Amino acid sequence: MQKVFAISINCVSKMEQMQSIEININIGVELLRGNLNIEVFETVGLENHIDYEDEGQSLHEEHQRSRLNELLDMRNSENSSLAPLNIEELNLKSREVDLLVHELTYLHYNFKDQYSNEEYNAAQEKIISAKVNPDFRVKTIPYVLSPSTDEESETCAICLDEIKNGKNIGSLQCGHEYHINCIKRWLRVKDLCPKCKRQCLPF
Amino acid sequence: MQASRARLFKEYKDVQREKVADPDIQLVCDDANIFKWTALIKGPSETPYEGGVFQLAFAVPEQYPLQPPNVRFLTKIFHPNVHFKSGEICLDILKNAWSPAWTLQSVCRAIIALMAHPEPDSPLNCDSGNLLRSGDVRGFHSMARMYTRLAAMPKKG
Repeated sequence: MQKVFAISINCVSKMEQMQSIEININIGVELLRGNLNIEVFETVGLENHIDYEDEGQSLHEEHQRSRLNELLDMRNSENSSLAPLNIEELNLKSREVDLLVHELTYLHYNFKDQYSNEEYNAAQEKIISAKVNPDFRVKTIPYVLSPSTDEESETCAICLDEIKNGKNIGSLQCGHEYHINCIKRWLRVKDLCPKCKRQCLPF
Repeated sequence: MQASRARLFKEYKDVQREKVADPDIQLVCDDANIFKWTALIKGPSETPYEGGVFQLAFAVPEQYPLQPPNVRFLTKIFHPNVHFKSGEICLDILKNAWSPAWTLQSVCRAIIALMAHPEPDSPLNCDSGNLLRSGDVRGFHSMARMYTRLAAMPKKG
């Protein structure tokens, strides 16, 4: 499976931001419809996500739906070449709504630190030229960047998210690394390394 | 709440990707609730469960992955470490030896391994455990085989 990164956040102007949202919505929808056979939206970290910690399930879903509506409205108002989409037509199940919003919201946050300015500008360039092409379909996503961090990237076994270079790492005596917040939460449950089961605290 | 959700999303996506890679496990998330999953696992070869397909039900707690998922067999199975009526599974990693490094997928693998290597000394199904402990491997085998045929294999005709 090809690894594809969708880059589109932190655009300079609002206009560009709209375009990227539009493209992301398309990708998200195609992804949900199963037309997309590539790994898009490599997720990087969830720390920027809105935290629903103390809210009930229904409130969460309601929020997700209204957020999705908001994103779809942006897409529809910005682009006349594609047929308008609405949430009913998408016929999404609640999990899919969750997933889509999760991905889309995600894309709003700083993907940018992952790439050099040159890479980022090149991707931007391609997004804009894709926009100009009236035949643009998600199938031919033109802004493909192969991730440079791939061989280095390690996954936190607790949240399954990537551990970004040197950021917020909690390293145990056995050498296994996790996100500091993740491992703290686990050590409160049990004083063992999740991977090798060695004791961590010296008493 | 949000941490368990995010983690389950990750697993959901990983499962979509790995579907082809692990032909013995089919993990499916409930349409409406990401905390409910079911799995179909193939009985391991060279065991009385061979040729059978067994359904597991997962109920994932909100504290996941700090706490293990609750897993049970929905398909009847004659196995020393599975409760015959409730389908409850006696497996250390689902109890005190749980670690957040396990995933729903790897739990399925562990259960397949348990099917191939029963632990008759901590039985939930005493009849099954006693057969093995008394050395009646043939008796155990034929009982387990019978229930596999009855409950885990497609009916002919």
